[in-house]
Amino acid sequence: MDLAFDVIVIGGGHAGVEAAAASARLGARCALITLEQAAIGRMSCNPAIGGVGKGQLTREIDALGGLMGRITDRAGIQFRVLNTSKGRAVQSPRAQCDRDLYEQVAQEMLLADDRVTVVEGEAVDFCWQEGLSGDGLLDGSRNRTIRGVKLADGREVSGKAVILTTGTFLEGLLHTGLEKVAGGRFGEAGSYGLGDALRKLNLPTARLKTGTPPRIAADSVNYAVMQEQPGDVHPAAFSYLTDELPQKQISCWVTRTNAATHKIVRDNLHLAPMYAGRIDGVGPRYCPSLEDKIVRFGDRDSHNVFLEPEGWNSDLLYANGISTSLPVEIQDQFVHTIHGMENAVIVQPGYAVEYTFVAPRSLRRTLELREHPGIYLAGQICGTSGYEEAAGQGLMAGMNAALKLQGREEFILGRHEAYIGVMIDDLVVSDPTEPYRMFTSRAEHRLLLRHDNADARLTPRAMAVGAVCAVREQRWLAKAARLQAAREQLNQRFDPRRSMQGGGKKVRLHDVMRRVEDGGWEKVLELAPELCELGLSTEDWQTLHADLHYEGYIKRQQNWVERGAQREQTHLPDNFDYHQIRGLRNEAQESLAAAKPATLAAAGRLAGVTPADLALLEVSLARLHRNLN
Amino acid sequence: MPANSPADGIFALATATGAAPRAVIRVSGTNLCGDAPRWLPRGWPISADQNAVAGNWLWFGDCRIPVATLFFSAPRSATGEDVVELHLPASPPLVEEIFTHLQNQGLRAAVAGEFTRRAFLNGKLDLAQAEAVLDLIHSKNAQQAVAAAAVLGGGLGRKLQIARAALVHGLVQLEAGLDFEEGDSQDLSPAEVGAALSSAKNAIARGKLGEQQRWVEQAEQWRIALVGAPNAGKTSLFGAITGQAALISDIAGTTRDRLQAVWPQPAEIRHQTRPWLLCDLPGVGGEAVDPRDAAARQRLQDDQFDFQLCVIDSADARAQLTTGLPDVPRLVVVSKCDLPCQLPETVLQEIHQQTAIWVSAEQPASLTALTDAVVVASIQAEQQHACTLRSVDRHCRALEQAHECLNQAQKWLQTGGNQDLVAEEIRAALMTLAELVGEFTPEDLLDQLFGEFCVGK
Repeated sequence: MDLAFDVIVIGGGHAGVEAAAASARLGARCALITLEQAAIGRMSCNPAIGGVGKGQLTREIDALGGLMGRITDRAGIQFRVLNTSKGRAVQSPRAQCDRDLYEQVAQEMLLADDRVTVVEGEAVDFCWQEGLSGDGLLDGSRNRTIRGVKLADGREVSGKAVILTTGTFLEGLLHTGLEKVAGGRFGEAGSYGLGDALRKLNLPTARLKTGTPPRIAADSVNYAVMQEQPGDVHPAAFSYLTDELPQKQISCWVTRTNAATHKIVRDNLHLAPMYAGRIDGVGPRYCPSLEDKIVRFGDRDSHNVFLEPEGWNSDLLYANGISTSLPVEIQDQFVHTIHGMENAVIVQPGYAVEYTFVAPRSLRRTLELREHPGIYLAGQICGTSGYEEAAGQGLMAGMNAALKLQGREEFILGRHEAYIGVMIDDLVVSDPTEPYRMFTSRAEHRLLLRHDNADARLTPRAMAVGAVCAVREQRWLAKAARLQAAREQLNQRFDPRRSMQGGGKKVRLHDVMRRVEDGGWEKVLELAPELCELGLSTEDWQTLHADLHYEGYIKRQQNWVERGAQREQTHLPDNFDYHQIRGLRNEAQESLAAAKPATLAAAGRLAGVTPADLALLEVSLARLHRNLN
Repeated sequence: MPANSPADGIFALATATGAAPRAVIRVSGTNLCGDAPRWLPRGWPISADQNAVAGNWLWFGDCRIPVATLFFSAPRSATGEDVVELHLPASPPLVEEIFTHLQNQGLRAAVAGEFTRRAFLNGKLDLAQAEAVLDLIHSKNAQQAVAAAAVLGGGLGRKLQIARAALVHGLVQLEAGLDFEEGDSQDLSPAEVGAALSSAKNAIARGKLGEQQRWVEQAEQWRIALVGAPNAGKTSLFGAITGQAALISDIAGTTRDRLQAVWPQPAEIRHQTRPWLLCDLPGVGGEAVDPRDAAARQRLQDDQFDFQLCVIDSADARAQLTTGLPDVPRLVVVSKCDLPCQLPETVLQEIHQQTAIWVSAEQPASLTALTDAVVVASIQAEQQHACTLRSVDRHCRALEQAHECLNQAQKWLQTGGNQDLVAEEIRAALMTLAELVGEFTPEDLLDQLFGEFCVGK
């Protein structure tokens, strides 16, 4: 086997898959090193993609040419758009997936690109070469160039950039009750050499925790007493390339915990590793274990449990809502108190996993380590949580590694352009104490960042660097032309009903459109049947309607964006000495020196940095540039 | 906001606040000169070639106001951007109306040092100048911080904290619903969000009322009190300065009601400060001679003064230096200096320890020194005053803006299905209030959200 590549990706999870695929799309020869080829693209936790905030991320990944949306469309068993009653900007698609099918499709799509090679093995260290080597990337402070990765079996894979996407595998430790076993996922070994390799680079590392609920035998629960949660009547696809989804869907089921369940958990808290002091890592607040929910919200005597089928033919249910790391026999006891689960059989118990991550403030916005050019991080190793968050970072790291090796400009998304931009911008100045998850409330420009317009926001950006295939490019151009024609017609044509009444004020169709309820554009079509000729899809109509509905707000947000643009474009050098700035308050100095913000705007978002501090920074920066010239 | 509003135009009053013959509003931004017809008030004089132009502008349709417009195209302007100066009579309501118009056109009031910052960024100031200006901004910030602290201590802060707390509570309710799917979180209670909106609106309206009160109290004149023992010669001094005759007698308590009149300012400082208003107060010290005198003394307590002249009679062997009005800056005036000085040594020493001016109402030339001393004091006071007025103005604008956002939020809450827009308006209101009482970040929101709700499967 030829073991010489441009980009090496370590890890085959959702970040790794997108990283490899993205760098290959830009022409890089890419090796994906994984412990087990058959586990590439595996869903470690819940068998679902999307959800609020995450659905937007998935569509952004797709608009940039990524795989996640397309895999989901093929592997989905139930599609729903969440938050339909709450406003277009916060609506998000979510799909239950067939767990086995998902990884199968992921592997098939990844390997369809012959620039991607899978290498089975455990990466344990980096390989370096003294001085600058060829067209490699020099680690300036140590005068050496990254040359590849060493495997546990002694083999070396050579490459010029390395992307680490180790997920929960980096020094992973699985907890069930007070038992703990080394591993990255149930039944799979972790990765234990790389942690030391990272610490040798003086990177700040720490531990985080996440958990997963028990898997239940599908034929052991009583659906008759549960509430059914069917998929949408008209399921909507994630990918802008998908025309049709399978019509058949599978329902999920909702039941609830009760006082008896809570009593069992409370009585056994001393056996939960989190509460018995066995876990060093901090768990997430937003995806809490049942133990957490009962301790923190003691006044509630019931919580929802969502039973989600794991596939078309799977005999397993994922018990969403009762993530736990209590001992197996306690899990058995409390599960049996839940209505409809009295005879439930636990096929695989819930467990908590603790893993090592690198403080993401070590990263630049390209996800490359500040101090070690050529090494990129993506996914849970950056302190995030979730498949979609990981995939978004993987895609950005993959693109940027390939672009850098080609000597091209870096690919950065702004906070007003994408949730991916918000996420990375937040991450690179943060020191997470719990895994970072996407929320729509993190975005200042939420009304601009809708799931329906991800292609309008991002596909042209990806096209500009040649990161999308010809099919996607053509589809987008056709859609853009369609929308443009529709906007012109809506703008130019008048409501014929009003025009016929003599003296009546003429009403433009776009004003009629603005006033119809969400989904009520049939009225507009009745008034102007010729619009049918444009062949607008449901989603086209949704975008046209949302743009009109939010028009004033979109203008206001764009205005804010423009106001901040100059500061967003003013870059702060990584090695900027904040302690030398005359008059800068100590608090601001500390905050800036720790976070090393990439831009003046990012500096302004830091806690403890005031507008007056920013003005001082601006002047010092100008002095720096003047001295350089 | 109009479609073609300038992206980041800022405006500020370039002249002293208050009534004066002329005010200059300076506006800076991109393409302001070329776009002038679009954002200037309708009917404002414009010359096609962007030369300075003077003319009349119709206010309320029939009131002709003499105004002028000066254009400075980028990069040949103070900020390096397009700068347009509007010259107009400095009537506060007129200036106010123009400000409101500019704001409606998408321009915004400049923050401290913003014109200078732009000038620096556009290469109009060198580094040393910029650093000097920044030092100044820092000291001004400190001054403003003192002024702001006074305001916030004065009740606005408390009202805004109430408003903010209510809005954060409402926003948390909304965001919990928006960021978690149906069934995964507590159901949104529109009534609770509605109640939060109403309570915030009330608090903001009360805050604005308080600010307007402050404006009324401070706006028009610089008020100078003449204080001193009965029969110290205050009223003679009053007459000599203002040229207004009053009943003068040697009987203590003659000046029972307050006399007030404009103190003519030296021509060279006119328009740099507010007009001076001199008030002759009933003598303090000694017992009230009758109930009318007592009542007048009581009124004195309720009055607000910016400055006081503490008058002492140099011909009076038993004179004591008055303590004057509490917390009002003072100047000691020794009267009747044309007569032999009878003051005891201890009092003389006390007088020498402070700034004191010797005058005689009989010798007008002796009043020049007094006027000079008051000029210095009033110019210093004016800088502080301008800070306060600007802050009042800024506060009122911010409060109005926040109030309007909340009106919109209520509208969206009633239409249903637009919770994202309710949240958007509340966020905008919070951002506006944040400028007045400190930052609020999405992270704060999430902290509170996870504290209040059990969310997440």
